Amino acid sequence: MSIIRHSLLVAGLALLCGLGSLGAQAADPGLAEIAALKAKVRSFVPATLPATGEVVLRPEQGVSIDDLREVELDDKPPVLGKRLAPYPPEMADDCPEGERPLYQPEAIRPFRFRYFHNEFNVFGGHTWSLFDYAALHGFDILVRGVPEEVRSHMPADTHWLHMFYGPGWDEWMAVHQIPEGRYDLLPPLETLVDMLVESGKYDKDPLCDHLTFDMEHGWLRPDNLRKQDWYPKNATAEEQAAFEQRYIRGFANTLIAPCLAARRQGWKNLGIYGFYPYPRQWGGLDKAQADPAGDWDWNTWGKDVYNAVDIIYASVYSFYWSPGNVAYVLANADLQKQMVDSMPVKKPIRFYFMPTLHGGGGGWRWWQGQPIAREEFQASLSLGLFTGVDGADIWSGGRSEFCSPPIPKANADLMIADDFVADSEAGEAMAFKRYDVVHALSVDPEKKTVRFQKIAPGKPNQGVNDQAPFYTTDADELRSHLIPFAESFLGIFEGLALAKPFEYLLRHGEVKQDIPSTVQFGKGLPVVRRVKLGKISVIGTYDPNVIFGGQPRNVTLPDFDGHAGLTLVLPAEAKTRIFVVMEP
Amino acid sequence: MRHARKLLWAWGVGLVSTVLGYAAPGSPPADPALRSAVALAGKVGRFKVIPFRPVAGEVTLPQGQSLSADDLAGVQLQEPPLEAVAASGPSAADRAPGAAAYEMKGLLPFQLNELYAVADYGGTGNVFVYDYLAGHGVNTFFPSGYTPADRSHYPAATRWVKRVSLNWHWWFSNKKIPDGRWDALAEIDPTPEIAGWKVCDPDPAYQVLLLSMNRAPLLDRKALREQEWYPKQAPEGEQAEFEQRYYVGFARIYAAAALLAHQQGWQTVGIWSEPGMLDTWAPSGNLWARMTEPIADPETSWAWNAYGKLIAANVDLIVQATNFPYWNEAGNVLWLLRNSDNMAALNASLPEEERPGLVQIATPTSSGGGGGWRWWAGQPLTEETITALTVMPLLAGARGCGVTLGLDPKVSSSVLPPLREGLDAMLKDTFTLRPTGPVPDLPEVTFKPNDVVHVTMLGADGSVTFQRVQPGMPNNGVGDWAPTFTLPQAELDRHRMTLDANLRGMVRGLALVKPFEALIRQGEAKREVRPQVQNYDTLPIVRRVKYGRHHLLAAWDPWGYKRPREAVLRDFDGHAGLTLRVPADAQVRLYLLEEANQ
Repeated sequence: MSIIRHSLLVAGLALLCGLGSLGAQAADPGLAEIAALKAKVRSFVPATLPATGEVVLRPEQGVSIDDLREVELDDKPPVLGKRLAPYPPEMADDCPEGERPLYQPEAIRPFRFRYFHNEFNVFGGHTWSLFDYAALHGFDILVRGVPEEVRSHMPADTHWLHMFYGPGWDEWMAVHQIPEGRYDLLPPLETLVDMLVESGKYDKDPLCDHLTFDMEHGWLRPDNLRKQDWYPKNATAEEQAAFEQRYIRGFANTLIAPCLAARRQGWKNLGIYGFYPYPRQWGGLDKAQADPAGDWDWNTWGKDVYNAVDIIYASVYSFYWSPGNVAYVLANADLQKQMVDSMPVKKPIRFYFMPTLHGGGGGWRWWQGQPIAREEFQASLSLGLFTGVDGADIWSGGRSEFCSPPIPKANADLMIADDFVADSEAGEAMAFKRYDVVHALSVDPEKKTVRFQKIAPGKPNQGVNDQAPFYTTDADELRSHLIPFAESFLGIFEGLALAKPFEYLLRHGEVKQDIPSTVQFGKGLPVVRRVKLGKISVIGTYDPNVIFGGQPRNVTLPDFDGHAGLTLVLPAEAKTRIFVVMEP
Repeated sequence: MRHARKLLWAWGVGLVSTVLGYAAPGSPPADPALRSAVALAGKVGRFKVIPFRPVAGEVTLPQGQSLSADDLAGVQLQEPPLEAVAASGPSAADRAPGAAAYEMKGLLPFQLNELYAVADYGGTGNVFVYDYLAGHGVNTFFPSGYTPADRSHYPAATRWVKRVSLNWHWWFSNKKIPDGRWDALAEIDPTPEIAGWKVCDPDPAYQVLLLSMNRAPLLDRKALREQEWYPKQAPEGEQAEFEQRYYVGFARIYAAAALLAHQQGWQTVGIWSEPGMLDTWAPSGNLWARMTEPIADPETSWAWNAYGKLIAANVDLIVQATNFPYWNEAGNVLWLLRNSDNMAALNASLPEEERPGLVQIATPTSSGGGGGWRWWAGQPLTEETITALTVMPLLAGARGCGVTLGLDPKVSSSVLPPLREGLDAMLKDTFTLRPTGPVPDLPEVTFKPNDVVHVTMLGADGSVTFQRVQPGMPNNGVGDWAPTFTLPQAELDRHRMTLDANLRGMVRGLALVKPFEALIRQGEAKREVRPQVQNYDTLPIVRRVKYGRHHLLAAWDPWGYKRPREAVLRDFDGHAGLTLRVPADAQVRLYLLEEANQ
């Protein structure tokens, strides 16, 4: 092993010398990118691989977000202009004077991507200063909802996205006296488009050059359609087939018509949240396979909708508190990409993220609404850009705790930020760790105390029961140990910043799956992704096990990149790391 | 009732014959209902009767041949001309024509005759408003502090409304029947008591008797069945019979009073809208949240069949007064149109001679719609909204339009309330101002008509500091962080809008209607697009009346889109494949179409 390490060091140095000369000539943008980073991060050591043998990379050879603090990420960093007016307190940060808002990671210099496009689609109280920060840290497409007071001073190359929460087909159909769900009764496509255009709602907003529809209405596949009272059960087979065709065309038209209406009015860069060439999947994801040739939805109506849009959104809302989340994000992107790649025109895909856990169903779910862990978002955003996508959209509204942890309230589920010990009411000490969750049972406003129990997945009622220990503590004390909602944003900005130094390679390289993400998801493996351009491979690793209490693991890639006998071993841990290796 | 209708008709026809010189219906060689409409094309150069062929295809109406109120300045709207109504009151001599904000410059005197144009406005402080309106369209006045004798110089055809209140609490008390037990009235005829109250006695100074009921609430069936006195243990049949008695008894208070009034010689008897009337016969739903309720169906409206039609069939007018909680130009107008549509649908189930006319009168200010600071509370609706509120319901089948506003009787709505801290003031014109705070060097801001400013401070030096209300911004743009502006108080006052300024919108609307009054009254309201659709799809508002081969259309686009739009009427007037495109903009416009013979 020591010999290998020795040789690796030599190889690294050799590459470094090569990078130096290439950087000077600026002949290869990929190499230039690596050289530029090397010049800024001294510990970063790209490695040249031998033809055979085992190569073990050390963590410090890669780059983590900590290596990029105070580092100039962008040679032309975005700059904010002068504000029209101060922000109202309801919309500005509400942090104490001089304190850094909790969404701002430490010392990440302003940057934007040249080759990726990220949408900041966030609204609600105290978000305008957050907007300013996002515009300087990786996001070039901002949602239009903010007023002139925010828009006026954004960097010059900012694009604006109109988020159209419409047309609301259920209500549209009710207003137009079409029974609920009866897509077969909709007017023909051209008439439908005319009607939408006439409404004026599709008029081009001269400020915006992106338009996203939120259309999440459902439809019935034939087996369910045939069960409806209004299905022509007594008609001939031919009539039934025609009816089914009318129905599914009608449904497709509900997605297509708004796009055509908008396009007629001059809109470009159209996307639909709610339309997925490959529907978001969690259950069975380990065995999932995209089947563009055989997929009924895709071939019946999906391709037509695909042809109507410009951007494909891959919704990857995380449902559960699970170590599978990052692999789930990446696998869904891969599946989406396979569908897109089956088409003659390959349209850009953007992830659609929400910074909190969706929950995944009804009833009490202690994880619902918990912020997505900083480490997980860091991995999802940075490694997400290894999948061949165009970027990401961050959608969030209604949460505004950007400067402080949540205030404990009865029945709230609260995630712990750091380790501490508390005595139960029975006097037993309990160690609470980061990412534990407690369930607040009650709050005593006079004593300013909180009574709570520790969430224990797998135990009766998730650990909230009479047999489990009870704890009572000072409310402010507990609050000081809680994770603020804003932590998700730390991961978002850090993830993008981590990918930034590699963006040319990531955007122009070929996506390589040494271990398919579906397999990583199914087997709970550490996450590894790779993009190759020429002889350079950019590899990212992350081990979700760590924040779930496990030990960091290595990723072993035998016969690396098809080289028989060459094994690459990479460390994976809670911090996402990006390595660069070069074929001999 | 039939007798009363007959008298009303004779009165109306007589009026028209007298004022316009028209022949009575049934005798015309030339159609009198079209005479003034067609004649207008000769008086207003741009306005044309637009021919169209009722065949499949697309027809875009030429906006240049439409009529807007601006076209009517200097146009004689009435033959023989109406004499100007002199200003009256202590300072009448000081008033110059055209000086008040509510006056439309150059508009010649006229008065509606066949439709009701109603004013219930202010009090004696607004004497000049009444004087102007009497000579510019309005033909029906609530006394509002005057008596008809006080205003004897108004045109002869002016109608006065006598609004009377019938106190049913007394009735129940005197009968020693628990208040609100309407079932009792199914068996007891209240006519003797009503007669005793003398509220229906003849009064020749007034032409319209408006019944207002001071009464206990009407319970819906669910609430009725929860009452202690409801026969809960009775068999279903008896319960049904009890319920029928309850609702028929309720209807009787209106029907009996109306019948008595007609017997006493009143030719026009109306009811004032109250909870339990149109709102239960044909619920409009919550316009401000969803607007998916269909047009009323007289077959299925339980309330209409239980008591609504018993009331409606016995009165001549239903005066529906509406006030608007929110600042929503299109929504306000569409709300009234829904009421018109609903009433028309219900009326269609009655024999023609029993159908009451719906008079839609509106409060020309926004009520606010709730507690707390609401900048729009009390603000005057925009002038064009008032024009639309005047014109559109008439083309949707309403018999009348108008305004109603209760004010301190001694205060003139032409006088600006004094500036004070916290006041929200609407502006009437455009000007530009540089902020004076909260930080230096902020860019200039342009203020526009109908903008509202919030006064934050009055300076001892006679200055006023204010902020611009910006809907959609936190606290509507008012706060320490927001730009502040400072002006001398007198200068800000020069930019402020008086409360009565928007009455010009009513006058403009009445002027627009005037040449088409007979056509509207004798024609049939038609509708291609329901208000629900216009609201949800933010479409231009368009309404139509058909009279023979002529169609009068009103179009207005209140939604503020930055491009000219058209209202699209598919299968126009039932002609399959014929699409009519009607240009609409921020002004209410009328188009007169003539269908070619096929």
